[in-house]
Amino acid sequence: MTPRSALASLRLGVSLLLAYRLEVVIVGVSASIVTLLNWSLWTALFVGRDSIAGRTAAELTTYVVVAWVITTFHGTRVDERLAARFRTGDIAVDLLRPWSLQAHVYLRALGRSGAALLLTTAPLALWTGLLLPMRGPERPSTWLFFGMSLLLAQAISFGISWLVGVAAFRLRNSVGLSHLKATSIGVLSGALIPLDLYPPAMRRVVDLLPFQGMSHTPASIFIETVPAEQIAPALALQAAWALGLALAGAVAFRAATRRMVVQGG
Amino acid sequence: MPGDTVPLVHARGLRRTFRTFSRRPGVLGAVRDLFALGSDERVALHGLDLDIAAGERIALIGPNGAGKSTTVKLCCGILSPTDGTLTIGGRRPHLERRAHVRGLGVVFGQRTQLWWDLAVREAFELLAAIFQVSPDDYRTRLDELSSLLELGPLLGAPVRELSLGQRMRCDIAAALLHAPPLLLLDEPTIGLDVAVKRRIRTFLRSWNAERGTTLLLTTHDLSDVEALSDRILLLDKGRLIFDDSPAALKERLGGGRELVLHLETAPDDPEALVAALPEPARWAADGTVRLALGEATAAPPALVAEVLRRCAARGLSVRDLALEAPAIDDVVASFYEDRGLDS
Repeated sequence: MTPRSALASLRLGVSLLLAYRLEVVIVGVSASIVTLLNWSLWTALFVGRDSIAGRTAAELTTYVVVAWVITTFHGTRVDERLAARFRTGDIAVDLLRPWSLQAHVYLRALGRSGAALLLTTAPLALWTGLLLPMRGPERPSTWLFFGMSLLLAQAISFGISWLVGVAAFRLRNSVGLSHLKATSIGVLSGALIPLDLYPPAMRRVVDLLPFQGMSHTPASIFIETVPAEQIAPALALQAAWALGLALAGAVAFRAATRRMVVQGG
Repeated sequence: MPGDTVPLVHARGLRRTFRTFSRRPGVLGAVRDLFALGSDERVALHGLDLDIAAGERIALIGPNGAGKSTTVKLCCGILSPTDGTLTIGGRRPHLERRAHVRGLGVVFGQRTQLWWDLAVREAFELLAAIFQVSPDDYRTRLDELSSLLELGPLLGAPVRELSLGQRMRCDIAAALLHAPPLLLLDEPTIGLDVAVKRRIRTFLRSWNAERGTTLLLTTHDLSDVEALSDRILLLDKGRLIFDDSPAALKERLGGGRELVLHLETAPDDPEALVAALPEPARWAADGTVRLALGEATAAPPALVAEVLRRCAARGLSVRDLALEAPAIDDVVASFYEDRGLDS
């Protein structure tokens, strides 16, 4: 990937998002509804008590709002698109280009996320920030770490989606796998239920999975429940997952295309 | 050897088989399928030997299932040979795919390589970036391609809004932006109207003449073959059964054109009528009289006049006349029949 083709891939992501403006609006509206519902639910749970599982009302309500709002940034449909290209045989066209398809699709997803940040995530953050009583970061450096964590969350999200897309080709089933992906992300990433409230046994399992890096890590950094000395390891863990998933994705894609080339698609 | 040039495409004993899985019938069969599907081996290509020199224009023809697409996919490097060797420009396509595709343009009639949601110009710019075409080269080439293929008004349109003919012109331009020495076209004129087909043929001919770009196309359209090839490869059931010029193919088939007479009323004695006609003729099952015209048959108007005169002499009036060129499948079928008689 040259800087020029990387830039072209990023721009493609922006163009593809802009081509579906209605979808941008729908995602914004539905994310607003979920955010509002989540916030109301958690506010109601705090009536008559100061804390749940050691977390204050301000911390948890902010966590659930942030955790869901950022899904509009890192959410991706890479898995569906990739599975569809395998299914229709359009993957052949992708193999006729002197590129790494994975790098191209990652950059495209990053471009899409960048455009979504401006069009969906930022407006959503703005109105929730203004209308809902939330706890903003006290340390200015938190914003920087939060931004880094968000970028890594996007890379993890891409890595999982890429693997799901490739697996869909091998298992000849994309709908079921994409559904499984969506459910896993909802339950295991912290986007719907704060991971801090999980029973210890379940939490230990969740800690071994990559999903927590998508919403829990950035949201926890944002509400500053991650101690200062734990921030670097938390970011390193996210980066390790992003890298590990990317490598696994490269191996899986190589195997899938090799199989196609050797066995005939 | 001195004076000998290395062929651009070089295949020896190129063979490709596919494993097809079949499901057994019935409940018991379904249970057995859970453990292992029944499988058959189908041979798509039986040991192809082929050399193509740079600058040649090759038409790859044959009925469905003859092995045309398999050959194209092997040349693309998206299919590996089961046996034998294939090198293109000194590289083995499936093993060095990325390096190989830099010098390759591919057009699929049934599939676009553009992005549905992008404007044509954006798609071209993206391809130029991916293939590392320098901005200067890109500009010159785009100007040239868009004037030859008349793309000017299309460049701003989203690909999804193009008609099939417009899209195909854009797809061909997209495949040539990086000036590949080899252009593969898999049924490039399928579904297009006559005017677009003609424009595309004219373009490809001049591109080949000016740039020396090697063309390898598969088609079911005999006019494509006549307009675009100086060498025909005829495949049947995975074997190369003919490899020569279009003229040689016609000669083998004796021209193949037929003059078809639709008579007002059926003749009392068709055999006598047929015998009275100037060229070898037959009484066809559909109630028409068919005269086979050899390549050497000169002056068809004179011939037609003579035929009409002889019919009139027998008291038969001709309702309609047609000159029919055989479809490519008929050519292949008759070639195959001839071969069957020979062997």
